Amino acid sequence: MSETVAIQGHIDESGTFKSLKLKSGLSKELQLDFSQVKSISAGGLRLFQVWLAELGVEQLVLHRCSQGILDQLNSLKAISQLKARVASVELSLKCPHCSSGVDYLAQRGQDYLEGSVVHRESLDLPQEISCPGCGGQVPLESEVSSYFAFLKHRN
Amino acid sequence: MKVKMWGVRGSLPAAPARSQAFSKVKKALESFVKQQKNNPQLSVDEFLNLPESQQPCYGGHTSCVEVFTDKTQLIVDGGSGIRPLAEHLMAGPCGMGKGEAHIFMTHFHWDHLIGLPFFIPIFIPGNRVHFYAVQEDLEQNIRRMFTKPNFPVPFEALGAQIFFHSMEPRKPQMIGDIQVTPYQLDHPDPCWGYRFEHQGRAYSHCVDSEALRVSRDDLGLDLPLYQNCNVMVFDAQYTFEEAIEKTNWGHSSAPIGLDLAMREKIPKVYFMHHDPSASDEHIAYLQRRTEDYYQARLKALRDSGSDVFEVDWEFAWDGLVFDV
Ligand SMILES: [Zn+2]
Ligand SMILES: [Zn+2]
Ligand SMILES: [Zn+2]
Repeated sequence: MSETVAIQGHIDESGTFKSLKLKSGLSKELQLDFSQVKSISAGGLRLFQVWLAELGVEQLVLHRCSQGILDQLNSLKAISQLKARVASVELSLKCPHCSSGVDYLAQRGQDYLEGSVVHRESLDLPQEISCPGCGGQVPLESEVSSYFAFLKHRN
Repeated sequence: MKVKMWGVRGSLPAAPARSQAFSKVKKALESFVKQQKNNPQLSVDEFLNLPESQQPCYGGHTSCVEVFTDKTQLIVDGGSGIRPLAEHLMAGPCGMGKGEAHIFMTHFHWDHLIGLPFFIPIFIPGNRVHFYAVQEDLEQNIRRMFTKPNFPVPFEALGAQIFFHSMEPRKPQMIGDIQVTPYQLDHPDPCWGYRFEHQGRAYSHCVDSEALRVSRDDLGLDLPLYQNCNVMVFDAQYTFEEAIEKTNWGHSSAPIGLDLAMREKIPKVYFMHHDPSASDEHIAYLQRRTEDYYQARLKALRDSGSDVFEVDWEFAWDGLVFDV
C-alpha cells in the first residue's frame, strides 16, 4: 500500500492544499489522512478535483474523516464525485452518563461498506460502545448514521 | 433602491404543464383536507396565507430584472420576463409615448433577448429606449431581433427612438441617481454582470456565470463586483455536482455563490437562472441541498475557530421584489 499523507487546514478556493508534499513517483492511488482537515468549501472541492486530475490520481482513499468533514462532503455528494473510498471515519461522541468524550474509529469493510454492482451498501456499527471514563454504554449507530450518507451516493 | 425579478428562469422560458398544475392543485386540496381534520375552523384564506417564499411556484420567464429608485428605473436583460414588465410600463409615461427605458444587456444568449420583440414601449413613437452593453456588437445583436422572417416588424419600423451606448469595462456610469459598473463574469460567450449603487447601497447582478474564478487573486479586476455589496443575485442553475459535470456550460451552483458571499460578507443572496427542466419540487430540493451545505459549512468554520459570516439566501421567483 502507498504511503498515507496528512492534509491539513481548510480545503478552499485558496488552493493551499496544492503545497502538500507528495513523494515523487506518485502512484495512481493517493492515500490521504483527512483527520486534520478543518473545512471543505465547494470552491475548494472543485479545485481539489482538478488538482487530483492533474496529478493523475485515479483512486483517492480517505482516512480518518471526521463527522464535520463528512457532513460537508455529503452535502456536495463529493465522495461519489471524487470516486473516493472512505477507509475510516473518526466518530466522536459524548458519554450520556459522565459527559466524557468517547471516540470510535469506524473501518470500511468492518463497520460499513459502500454499495456496488454486486452488493448493497451496509452500515453495521456496534449498537453501543463502552465509555473509557465510567464504563457505561454509549449508543452509537443511531447517533451517527447520517454521516454515512455517502454510502448511498452513486455516480 | 429596489429590485424586481421579472424573469428568473434560465436558458428557455418554462411554462408549467397542465399535469404539473393539476398535481399542485391536488396536493393543495389534500393538504387542506388533512389540516382541516385537526382544525375544522380552518378557512381557505388561512390555509393559503403562506409567506410568499413558501409558495411553491418559481415561475418560468427568462432573465429580466428591474432595478429602481423613486427617480430612476433600469432594466437588466430582455428575457421573456420583459413582456410583463412592458405591460407594467405601459400604464405609465411609456403608454403615452413619453417614456424612457434603459436596458442593460449582460450578453446575447437567446434567453436574455427573447422578450425584446414583445417590449411594447419600443413600438410607440415618442418613447426613448436606451440599450447598454460592454460588447461591441450590441447594436447588431438588438437589430437582429427585429428581422424578417424571424419577426414581422423590422428594426427600422420601430416607433421609439433607440440609442446604443457602449460601456467601458469596470468604469462606473451614472444613469439618473443610480451608478452602474460592468464586471466580467465567467461564461462561454462574453458576459458582463453589473453592480448598481445608490445612496451607499449596492446590488450585484452576477448572472449568467459559471463563477470559475472564486479566489480574490483569480477574480482580480472583477473582485469589486462582490465586495461591499448588500445584495447579490447569483446563477444557480445546477446542483454542485451537475455544475462540475457541465464544466464550461457557463452556469454555477448555489454552494459556490455561498462561498463567495460568506467570504465577502454579502448579507443577502438570491439564486436565479433556474433550469428550464427544473420543476418547483426540484428547486425546493436544490434549496434543501443548499441548506445542508450552508449548515455544514457554518458548523465546520465555527468548530475550527474561523471567522463566520452568516448569509441570508433564497431561490428567487418571478415577481419577487426586494429592497437593497
Ligand atoms: Zn462515561
Ligand atoms: Zn442565460
Ligand atoms: Zn448565457
